[in-house]
Amino acid sequence: MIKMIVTALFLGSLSGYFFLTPEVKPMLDRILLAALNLTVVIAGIDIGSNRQLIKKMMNWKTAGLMVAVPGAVTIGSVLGGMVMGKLLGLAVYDALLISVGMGWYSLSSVVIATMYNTEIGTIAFFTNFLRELSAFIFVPILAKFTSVACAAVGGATVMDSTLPVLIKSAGMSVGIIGFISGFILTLIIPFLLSLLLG
Amino acid sequence: MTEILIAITIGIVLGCTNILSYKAKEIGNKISKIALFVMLWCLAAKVGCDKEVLAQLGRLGFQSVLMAFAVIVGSFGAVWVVGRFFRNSIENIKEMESHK
Repeated sequence: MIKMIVTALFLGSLSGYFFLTPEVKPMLDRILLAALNLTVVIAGIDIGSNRQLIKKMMNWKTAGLMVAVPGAVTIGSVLGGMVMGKLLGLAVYDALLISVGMGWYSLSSVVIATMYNTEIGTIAFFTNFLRELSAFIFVPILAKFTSVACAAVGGATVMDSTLPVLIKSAGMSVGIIGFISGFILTLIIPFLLSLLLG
Repeated sequence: MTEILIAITIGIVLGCTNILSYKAKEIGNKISKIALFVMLWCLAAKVGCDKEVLAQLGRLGFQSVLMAFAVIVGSFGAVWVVGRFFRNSIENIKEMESHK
């Protein structure tokens, strides 16, 4: 996966630098949005297909936790992002946009770059991509000290790409909590971006 | 943005109705990977053809590393606090897992 991402970025930036002019940006935006819609439909199918598991885990004894974890991930990401944004001299709105991606780099970066600003879209991409990458590296280390909090590192990616590393490091129960948290985050990220971008 | 919300709704409805076979979902995952490649290629091409953004890539990278660190620390801390509050629920889930 990482190889594919690096290859796409390398080839894209080379093509952009040597063969494309800024005039083709609107066309790239159209392709971006079409591809994005396709990946979002497929992500939605994944969510819909897992409804039985979610139903089983969402009983009265655990419902509070299942809602609190993604809520805490969202609040923590936004607060952390805004504090760092302030230190870096970013506008509050820009820091907010970058933070609400919560690891879903393909969606947040494309939406922000297309509908708002390429520069902030680029930061959103690297920030959220690094978040996914960090989950692979740091979850096994952090799991030695705490379990549930490990589900926060990957953000929304815990639903898919970083789930195996979470299960291996923190156990199946934390994996389930992480999966449901990632599931809820995957549902709310488009709404949060939509809300912020008007 | 409305398009994306419609797209995710269509996906969820399709997933819930179970009309797609396992093979269709596998193909969907492959298509998703290709779409991701196309998206990243376009995103990088947009940056590559924009000389202004390209000139600032070092600064943007530095800001991204710090932003990533901050969002991870923020969410990790917040969930750690939540974990302390919901200790009993976590035990319940661990029990459910051991009864499987």
